[in-house]
Amino acid sequence: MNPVVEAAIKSWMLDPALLFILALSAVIYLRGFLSLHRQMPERYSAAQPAAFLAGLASIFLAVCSPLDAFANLLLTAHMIQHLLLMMVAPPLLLLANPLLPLLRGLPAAVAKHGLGPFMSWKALASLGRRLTHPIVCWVAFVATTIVWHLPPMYELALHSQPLHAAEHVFFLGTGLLFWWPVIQPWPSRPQWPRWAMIPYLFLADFQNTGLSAYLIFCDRVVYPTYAAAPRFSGTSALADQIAAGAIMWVPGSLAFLIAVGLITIKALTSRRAVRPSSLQIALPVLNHSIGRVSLTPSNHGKPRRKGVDLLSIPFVGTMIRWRYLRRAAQTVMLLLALITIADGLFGHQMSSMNLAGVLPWTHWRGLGMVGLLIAGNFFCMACPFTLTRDLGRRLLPARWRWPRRMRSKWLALGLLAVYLWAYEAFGLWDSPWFTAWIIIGYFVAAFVVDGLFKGASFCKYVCPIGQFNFVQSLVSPLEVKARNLDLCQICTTHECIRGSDDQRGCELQLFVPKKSGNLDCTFCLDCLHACPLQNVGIISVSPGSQLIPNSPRALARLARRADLAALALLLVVGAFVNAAGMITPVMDWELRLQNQFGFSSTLPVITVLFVFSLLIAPAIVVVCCGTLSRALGGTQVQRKKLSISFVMALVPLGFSMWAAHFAYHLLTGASAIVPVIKRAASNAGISLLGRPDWSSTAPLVPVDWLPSIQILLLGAGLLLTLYVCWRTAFNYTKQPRSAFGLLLPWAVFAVALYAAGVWVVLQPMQMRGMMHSMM
Amino acid sequence: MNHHRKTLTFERVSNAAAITMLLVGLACMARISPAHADGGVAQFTKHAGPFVVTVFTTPSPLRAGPVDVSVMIQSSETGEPVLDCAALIQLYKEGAASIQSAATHYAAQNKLFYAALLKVPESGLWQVDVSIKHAGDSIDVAGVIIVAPSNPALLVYWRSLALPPLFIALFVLNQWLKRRGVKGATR
Repeated sequence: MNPVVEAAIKSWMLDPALLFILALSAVIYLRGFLSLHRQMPERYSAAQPAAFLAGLASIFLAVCSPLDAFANLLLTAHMIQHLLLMMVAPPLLLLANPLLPLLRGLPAAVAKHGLGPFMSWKALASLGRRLTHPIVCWVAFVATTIVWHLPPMYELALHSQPLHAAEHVFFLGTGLLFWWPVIQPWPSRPQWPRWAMIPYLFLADFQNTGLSAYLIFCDRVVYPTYAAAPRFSGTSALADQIAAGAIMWVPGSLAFLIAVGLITIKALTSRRAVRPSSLQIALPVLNHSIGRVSLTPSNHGKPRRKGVDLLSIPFVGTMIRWRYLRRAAQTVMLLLALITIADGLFGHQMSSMNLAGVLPWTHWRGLGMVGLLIAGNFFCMACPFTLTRDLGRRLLPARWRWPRRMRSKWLALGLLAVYLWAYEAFGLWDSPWFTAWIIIGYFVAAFVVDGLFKGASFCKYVCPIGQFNFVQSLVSPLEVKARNLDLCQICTTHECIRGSDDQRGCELQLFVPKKSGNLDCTFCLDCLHACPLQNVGIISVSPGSQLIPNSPRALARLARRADLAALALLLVVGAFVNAAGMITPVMDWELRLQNQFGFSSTLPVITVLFVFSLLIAPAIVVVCCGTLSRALGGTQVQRKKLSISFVMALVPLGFSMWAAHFAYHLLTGASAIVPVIKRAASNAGISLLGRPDWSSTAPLVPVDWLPSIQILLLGAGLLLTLYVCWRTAFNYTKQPRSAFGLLLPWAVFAVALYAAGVWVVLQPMQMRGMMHSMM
Repeated sequence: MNHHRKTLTFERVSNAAAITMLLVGLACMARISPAHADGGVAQFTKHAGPFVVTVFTTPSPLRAGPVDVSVMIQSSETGEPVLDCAALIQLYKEGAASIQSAATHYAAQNKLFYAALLKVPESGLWQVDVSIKHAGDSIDVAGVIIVAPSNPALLVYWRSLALPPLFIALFVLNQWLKRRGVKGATR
């Protein structure tokens, strides 16, 4: 193939955001379609999903294919792009009758509680009715086509990416409007008789003909950008314009004329039969979708589905049920840990060239957060320290119970605070030697603690990584829980906690039927393997729902856990302090303070700042928020109780800050692992992998995407925190005014943290674990 | 009664239509705009040796910050794009450190271009040098670009920042409608 043609064909831009949205739309539609197809096979045939997917594919082709890459060079490419967005994608999407499938395909709670109130809002209905009136649709379509093809507007769109995107939105949006009365997707009701669509389409075709004729017969290049663009295809700019006009004229007119033909044929051949109106059929489906009524009597009596069970997914379920999965994962992690220790102690001491400087700080932390975000606490599942704990139990007595006074999170909280301080004060991330010794220390602590004390005392009361994962996994979308609580009611043996002859029960003493949320759950899956009824699953839950006490009892139980709230608060504030420690303005400020006070290092400054920002300031803020919340909410609930439950609501925001921070390191530094492994292998005398190429450590995504990704993560965290605050407030009072008063101080605190997070991510950051400095 | 039900359903259908369109619109707007220029604005075209070199930049107007510089190299004889060159882009400004990066097809959306993402630290008049190596020959092309001061960060990332207030507004509206519906039903 001609290399120029080959290069042109390869010019795709796979925009992940657009791909995600298109894929999500397809999934929602297909989910809804399948449900409706079962109920109304005559109404929802296989042609409709095909049309919907073809419509999405047209958008994808228009925006991601070489058409987009060549839009600034060739008017013909740009014209085909516009035709796809106006004349191909909209009718295909509307032919799929997308309204009910999209509604039905959404999670029931979103459709019922999220969209339901909007769907019943008369003002919006009126707006929708006016917007889909044929005159409005026609005028919007024609006006959009003409205005965007005026040379000044066209040039603006060619020179500005946001305006170009806006142009596409207008084309697609008005395309949908224009084709709406023509196709009249079921179950909408026509506002004009069908025959009126014939002049409607003809008039639109006149406009199309006029515009394309102008492009064809004009004796100069209409758009200056194309006159100035390099010509490489052997055609002049004017010839390109004529071809574009012809494309607009012929296929454009064909689309109108085919529609006219189909409408005419249908009008002439349709029989008048007494059939139930589309509204009569659609009404119960629509009501059901937004949660007004149950659709069929057969739904009664069936147990309600409670999320997706990971174990029911083919292959994934089989893998998870495999008895040796955990051991295999732990062994791999143990080997990696040992290699990391060896390289940390004996390898090159530049952190970005050493496994101990890259693997724990860039990959494990980042991938751990990804795991928590999309699944759950799978890091603890594969924890390499478990093998040492088991060894400790064999070699040491392991007969004492963990001291009663220490059965809380206070010890782990102290260790976490020390770790966060030491990380910054001693630059742990920058010292492979220190990192190796921390891992060794971890192995020794796990060996000693579980060698002396019964149960999983190390995991539950000591391990800072475990506490971090426990708290963050409260936002995760998966939870180990009973599939059917009724079965648990009749179980008398309770193997899930007591264990059986060949399988131990939950080491952390979490009783599955009473377990609420992921707190203290290491995803060890012992309960899953022990349950003789196979009644334990890994089931999807709404992220953040574990933070909302769903009963007064749960609320009371949570309110007693000051240690847990303190741990959560430390991790929330710690997320922001930890990220702030790596930005230039804060590091400059620390240096200025050091010079001002005449210290020989920044250690005293960092220590004071950390004590204040991690311990003193959060405590003051929480007391103030608790007091204000109580006063504004006009409630008699104890301040401590209020504060504890609202502090837990801040966990999603802290999670999002950790995720934003670690995502930054992972996305910028992930590729560093390749040369680092080669270097470590080379040091160990293994030359098989070749020489390390340090110039190949490019970020995984364009660097200017990172702040957008980080801000989006922070925004999601803020929204979830505000939602949990709102739900928590309504747990204390049913009065909206009082609930608003209760949550207001906490909402202000959350917004302040969000603003601080945005400021942090927009600052120049230290490229830790990277060979190059890009920001 | 029947008429009322029909009207109610129609209202819902209209609402669903509006929401569908909104979703489709958001789908297009939510595109994160990477700085892959591939066109943008043609800054200058120069004839050098056997080549015609055109330099494009994005964003438009050009601002300090991440800047995508794309180069199209064509044969001056045939006009065919030349795809087997090695291109290096260097930016100079008086009183500022020079920046450079190799321009590659990989970094370009349009594979007929050679593109590089450079971070321009400040506004002003910058000289662009494109060094092209092809079959043992080395050709340099130079031109000047004007870089405006960067936009405030809040303006650059307004789309990401606008999402929380938007969702909060929708949530407030949702709650208001719910409460209004409950009140209406209890009357």
